[in-house]
Amino acid sequence: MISYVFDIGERARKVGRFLSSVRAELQNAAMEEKKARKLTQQDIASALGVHRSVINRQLTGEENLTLSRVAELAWVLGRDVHLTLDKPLGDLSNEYPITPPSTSEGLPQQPLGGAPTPSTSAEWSKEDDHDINYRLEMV
Amino acid sequence: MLTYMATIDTLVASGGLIDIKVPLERGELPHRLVYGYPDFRDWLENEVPKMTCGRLNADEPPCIQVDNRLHQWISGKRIVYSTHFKDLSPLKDEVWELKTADTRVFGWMHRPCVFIAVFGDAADLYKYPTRRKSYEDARAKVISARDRINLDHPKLTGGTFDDLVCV
Repeated sequence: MISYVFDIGERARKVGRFLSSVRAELQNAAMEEKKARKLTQQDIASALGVHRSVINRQLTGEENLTLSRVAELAWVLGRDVHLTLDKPLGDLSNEYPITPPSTSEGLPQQPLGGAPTPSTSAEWSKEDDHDINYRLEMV
Repeated sequence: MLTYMATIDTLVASGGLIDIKVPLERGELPHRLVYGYPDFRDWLENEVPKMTCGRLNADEPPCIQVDNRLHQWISGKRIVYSTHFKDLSPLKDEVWELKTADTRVFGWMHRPCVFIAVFGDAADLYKYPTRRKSYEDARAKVISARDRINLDHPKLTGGTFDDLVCV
C-alpha cells in the first residue's frame, strides 16, 4: 500500500486549522441566521460599516480575520464567543513543541500580568508550559 | 477476450494511485478518501510548499490552504459546494475540482466520498487577468486520465454534490 502524508508541520497545521475552524463556525452561524431571519452578507456588512466583499473574503479565508472582527461578526450574528485553551489528553513527554526560552533571549523579568517569571531557563519546566489545543465556540 | 481490471487497492499497491493522507487530530477518523495520481503526489510534495499567495492575497499560504481542505475532506467536516468543491461544466463529464483560494485540484469521484485527484495547479492560472490555462483543458486532462486508468468499472460515480460528498 503506497500512501503519502501531506505534512506541513505541526506549527503551520495548528495555525491553519484553528483559523479554518473559526471561519467554519462563523459561516455556520451566518447560514443559520440567513435561514432564521434572512440575514444576508450585505446586512452583516452594513451593520459593520464595510463593503460586502470584505465580509465575503474574510469568511472564505481570502482576507485576514482579526480577533476584533470575529467578535464583531459574533455580535451581528447574535452569538457569544468562547475561546478555550485545552491541554491535550495523554502523555506529552515526547511532544513538547518548543525550546524553553532563556532570559538572555529577552524573557521579561516582570510580565504585564504580574505572574512569576522563571529567572533561568532551568526553571522553565514542562509543567510551566504545554502544548495547546484551541477551540472556539459560538453559542 | 477478458481484460484484467484493477481495484483501487491493487492500483495503490502497484503505485498507479497513491493514498493521500493528512495528519488527523486526536479523535478524528477518515470519513472521506483521496487517492492521487503520481503527478498529483509530486505536486503536493514539490510544488505546493513553494507556492505563494496569488492575486487574492489570501490569509494563509497555499500549503496551509491545501492542508485545510484535505483535512476538511478526509475528516468528514463540512464541504461547501462551489467554494470548496465544484463540478465542471458540462456536468455530464463528472469532473470535479477541490478548491482553495490559490489552488485547484482536478479529478473525479470514484465512489461517494472517494475522490481521485489527477493533478493540481495554481488557481490564478485559470482566472483573468493571469489566465494561462483553461478549465476545458483541465476537464479534458481528467477525462483522458480516467479513460486510461486500468480501474474496475464503473470507474466513476455520478450524482449531485450532496450524493457524493455528504458523510
